[in-house]
Order: sequence, then C-alpha cells, then structure tokens
Amino acid sequence: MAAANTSDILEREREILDLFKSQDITLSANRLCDFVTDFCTNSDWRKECIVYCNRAATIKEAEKRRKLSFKEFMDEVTSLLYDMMDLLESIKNELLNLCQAA
Amino acid sequence: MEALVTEANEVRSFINRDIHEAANKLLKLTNEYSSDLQLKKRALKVNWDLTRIEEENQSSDHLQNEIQDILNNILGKLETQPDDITDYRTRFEATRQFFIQHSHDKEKVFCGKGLSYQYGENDFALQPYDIDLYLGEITAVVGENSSGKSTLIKIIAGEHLAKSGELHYPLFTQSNGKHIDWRDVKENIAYIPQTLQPWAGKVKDYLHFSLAIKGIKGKQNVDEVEYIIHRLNLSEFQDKACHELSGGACMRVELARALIWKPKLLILDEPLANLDINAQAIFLRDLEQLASSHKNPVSVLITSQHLFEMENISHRTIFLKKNTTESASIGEVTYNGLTQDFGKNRQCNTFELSCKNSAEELRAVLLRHQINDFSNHGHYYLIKSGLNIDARALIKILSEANMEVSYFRDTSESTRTLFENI
Repeated sequence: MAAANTSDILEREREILDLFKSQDITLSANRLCDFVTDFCTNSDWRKECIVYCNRAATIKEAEKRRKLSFKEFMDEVTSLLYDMMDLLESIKNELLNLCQAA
Repeated sequence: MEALVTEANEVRSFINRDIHEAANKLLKLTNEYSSDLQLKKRALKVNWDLTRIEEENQSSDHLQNEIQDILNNILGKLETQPDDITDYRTRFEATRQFFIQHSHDKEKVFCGKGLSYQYGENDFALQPYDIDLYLGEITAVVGENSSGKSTLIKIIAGEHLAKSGELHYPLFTQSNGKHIDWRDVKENIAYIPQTLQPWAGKVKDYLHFSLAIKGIKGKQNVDEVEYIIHRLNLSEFQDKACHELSGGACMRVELARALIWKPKLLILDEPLANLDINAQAIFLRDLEQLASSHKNPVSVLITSQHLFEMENISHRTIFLKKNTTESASIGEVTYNGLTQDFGKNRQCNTFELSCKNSAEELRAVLLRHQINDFSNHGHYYLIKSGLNIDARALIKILSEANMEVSYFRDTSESTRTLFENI
C-alpha cells in the first residue's frame, strides 16, 4: 500500500537513506530524482540526478557483463552512493534554510 | 539536548546485544542531529560493513568501536557546540512540521454516479455503479473475465458514452454531469489501452513527439524527455525502435509517454498482461512511486487479473462480477471501497495451500482441529476456518503434524474470495 501522506519530506529522506543502506543504486538514484522533482526548484540538481541514474545503469551493466571485479564494483557503488549522499545533504540544508526563512 | 543523549544511550545499549539495530539507530541519529556529512558517511559505512562481515563470518568488534567513536564525536560536539546541535535539530523538526502542515487533502479527480452501459439490446450490460477517484491514489478494477472492467474504465476515459448516470471531473471542467467539455477532460487524462499501438521511430523521438503535441517544446521538451528516460531506466532503449523492444520495455515506454506531460488521471487497461514477474514488479513500483508524487500526484485507475499485485499497491478496489441470465449477461460491482477494508467483516478465514501429503492425510489433520471446510482445486486445496484460526495458527497445526507444505497463502482479506468457484 502506498503511503497515504507523502508530503513529509523527512520521511522521504529517510526512505532514500534506507535505500543507500541497502546499496540499491538504481532505486536510490530513482527516488533521489523523485525527491528533487517533488521538493526542489533547482534544475541543476535534477541534472545531477540524471547523471547518477546514468552512473547506476552503467555500473549495473558492467556488473552484468562481468567487466568489473567485485572490489571495483563495490568501489563504484560506494562512490556513487556517497555522491548521492552529498546531494541529499545539500538539498536538505537548503530546505532547512527555506523553512527557516518561511 | 536530552533527547540526543537518550538516543545515544539507546544506541549504546544495542551495541552488544544487536549490533544491526545499533547501526541502524546510529544512522538515524546522525541524520537527525548532525550536520557533519563525514559522520553520516561513516554511519552508513558501518551498516554496509556489517552486512559484508556477516556474509564472510568475521568479527564485528571493530564496528562496535566505530559506532562508539561516532557517538562520542556527536556527543563531544554537544559539549563544545551545544547551540549548533540544538539549532540543527530545531530546524529539522520545523521542516518536518512545515511539510506536514502544507500537505493537502486528496483532491477528487473524478466522481461518477449511477453509471451504466449496454452494448446491444440483448448483449452485455454493465449495471449502475458509483465511483470516486482521488489524486495520488491507485484504484484497481479487478474481477472475472467479461465482467465489464474495460467497459468501466472506457466510460471514465471518455471512450464510451454511459447509458445512464452522471460524470464529474471537478479538477478539469465544470459540468452538470450530463454535458461535459471532453476537450478539457481529455487534455488531463492519459489512457493506455490493453493492446499497444506500435510507434514509428526511436523511443526518444516518440517521447519528444508525444510531449510536443501537448505543447511542450524546445529546451523544456529536451529536459523532460531526458529526465523521464533516466527516471524509468529506459536509457538502454532510447535509440531503439518499437519492434526491437520486449513487451515489458514497451509498456514502460508507454508509461513514460503517459506520465511525461503530467496528466492528472492515468488509466491503464491490463498493463501487466504480458509482463514477467520482474517486469511487473518494476512497473508497479514505478507506477506507485510516480502516482504518489508530492508535486505532480496522479490518480491511477488500473484493470488487472493480478489480484495480489493490485491489492498490494492499490488504495481502493472495485470488484466486478459477471452474472449470466437467460436473456443477457450483466456485470455488477460487488465490492467498491478501500482495499485495506476488504474482508474486515468476514465470517471465516480462507487459505490456499499445496502439500506433498495426500488429501486424506491433510483432511485428517484439519478435522482434528474442527476445520471441515476443505476442497480440492486441482493444484491447491482451499481451506475455510473459523476466525479463531488465523494463518499463524494453521501453519502451526500443519507444522506440528509434519505436513510438507509447498505453497501457502492467506486469502482471508483478498478479493480472490469473491470469485464464485472459490
């Protein structure tokens, strides 16, 4: 069942954090896209999300074709998730500031 | 910041007895109380490392130390910079409250009263029904073959003209229920039929074109297409033609085409029919997430034979039943309400199961527990019990009798129980 009230921004942030924790890069990138689309007006962030979706797809494809060793794969995943965490933190800080200003 | 100290102590209390829970709570704590990104990354890494060392059967002692160290860092900051942490936490809570206050009630997209349809004088007739659709909600239309599911959604999509009743689309157009400006309505409805029409050209061009005919051109068109392609993980298909794609990929392209111009109502007729299990799961997950968008919520009306999948994602369910009389066949709505409410007033519990034991052995075990409503449906047995025996109790009974169960499903709260031969 979908959440009845999806407007609580910090719950959405926690959902993304849980996806980071489970190292699901595709879904993490997808939900980060949704998060940015729903709560931000900064179009650069949306472009950044598209880059992350692309990176996730590339990593998955490389893994499928066995082009990466396990260590290389995990390094790529970690690097991508950390980059996404940076973006998530930037968005969160801006939202905190916006709310304070409001 | 007493709350932080209390939560930190709670994390500490879990370190020795359940390190997974400690790591989980630590991540939540760093997220809510700290503005230090490095600490958050360290907390995340503890969670990843825990999974890895468990797989490799290693000791987690160093992770216990790492959790302590992260906690000490946060608490150390509380001693040196108490105002910073208090300020961060206050803003965090204020943001939460802000968005809770600004969440809006679900708006009604469609309201139908007494809608009916008749194909021919002695042909199939859909009996009058009422239906309401809300933004951000998924409404599933399920039921028997030829019971009028597609007819029902075609009336709402404006593909069929209802024989009787009133239709209102309060978000799109003002109407008295009889005379509707279909141009206004159809500009806000996306309809994906059961049989997809092949399109010409590449996926990317198809999406550009679909958006252009909705009046979105130039840079915005390019940006939106790029976004939806990546959001729905279609990048590997973007330069392919329709005939080069699988059924699942085609359906996802159609979903992209339907959602790209942000309709208010999305109507899908049997979208899961040709998809394998993985493709179904991905499709439904995307549908659920995009429908409940905060900025552009969509009301989704979907028909399907996949009862369990529908019940998992839908907020409301409409069940249609086919009745055949001497003169005609009619479709009737037998359930129309919240999915979670179905089966609340049931008289019995219903289970399906398969096991390697014989029917006689199973019957004997069940009879010992006064369960005597038992029928064989070929690949599985259907069991009806009193409300005092729930799934857990039945599994316990079967387990204690050493029954070799290969399939078990509790259908007590599923519309599956409405099918006549069940």
